[in-house]
Amino acid sequence: MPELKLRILEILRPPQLASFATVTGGGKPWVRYVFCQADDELTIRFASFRDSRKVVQILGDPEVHLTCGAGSPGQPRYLQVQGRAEFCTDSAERHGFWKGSLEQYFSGPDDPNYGVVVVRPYRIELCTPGSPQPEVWDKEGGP
Amino acid sequence: MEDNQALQRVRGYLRDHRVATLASCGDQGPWAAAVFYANRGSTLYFLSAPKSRHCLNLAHNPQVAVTIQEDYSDWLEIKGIQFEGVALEISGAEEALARRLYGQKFPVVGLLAQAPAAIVKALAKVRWYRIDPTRLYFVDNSLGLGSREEIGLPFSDLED
Repeated sequence: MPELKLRILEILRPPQLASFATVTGGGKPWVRYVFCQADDELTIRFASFRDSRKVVQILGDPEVHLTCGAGSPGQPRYLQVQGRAEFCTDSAERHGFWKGSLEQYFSGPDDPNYGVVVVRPYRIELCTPGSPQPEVWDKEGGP
Repeated sequence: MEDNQALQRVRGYLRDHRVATLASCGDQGPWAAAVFYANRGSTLYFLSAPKSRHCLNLAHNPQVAVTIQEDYSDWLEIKGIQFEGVALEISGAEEALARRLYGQKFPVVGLLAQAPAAIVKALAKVRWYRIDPTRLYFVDNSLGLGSREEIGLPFSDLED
């Protein structure tokens, strides 16, 4: 695996609070915090209610942005992630992402209100304070 | 929660925190950036390099969304401020006000004569901006998941 991707994964892989920006139906930005987790392919996932504002916004415009690591104490580096999001309700995603901590919010992985937002990044900037330029990972083949 | 209580919590939260996540929109979609802010009442001030992605976006579309909160490990603990508004570059007397407020909150900026050379050099290249919220909420998941209370705007630093 390329060395930059490994360093990005160090920040992205642990479950964390990240800012998640979307575009509203009126073309305005919106941002909120989400608890997310990434896999080895840099795909980012987090749980959401089916009728949430973010899901409505993703369905209207899948272009999204995440900032990861910026709020973590002792974390000098952070990531700026551009990607495309989709809201998944298929059984594989629901059951694959399900964890006990979600029982506070949903009755189980088959709860009809439960789904998984899946973000597939196409560009990630690894930013280090004091460094003039970020290191950039681009998905092969582009967005 | 009574209106006045909520407003006091918002004032305290703005005063006690330093970093806002600023979301803007440009040709390449949404973009969220962390900025250090100072505030007077409901108006936030921040500085950034004019060539940064968020400032380039603001030059074409001043609509923004902002969150201010801490790092939490549990959804149910999350509290903070969420708002939408308009961000504009400022100059002259308003820039002087922003510099003064910023210097009070971040002494390293206020005491330029004693600041490290790298900071002095960086500050010479920045522009100053204000953000005026048009709709602002205080989020408190401890009162129920997704609980948020709208706060009347604008408000001052003074108690009513």
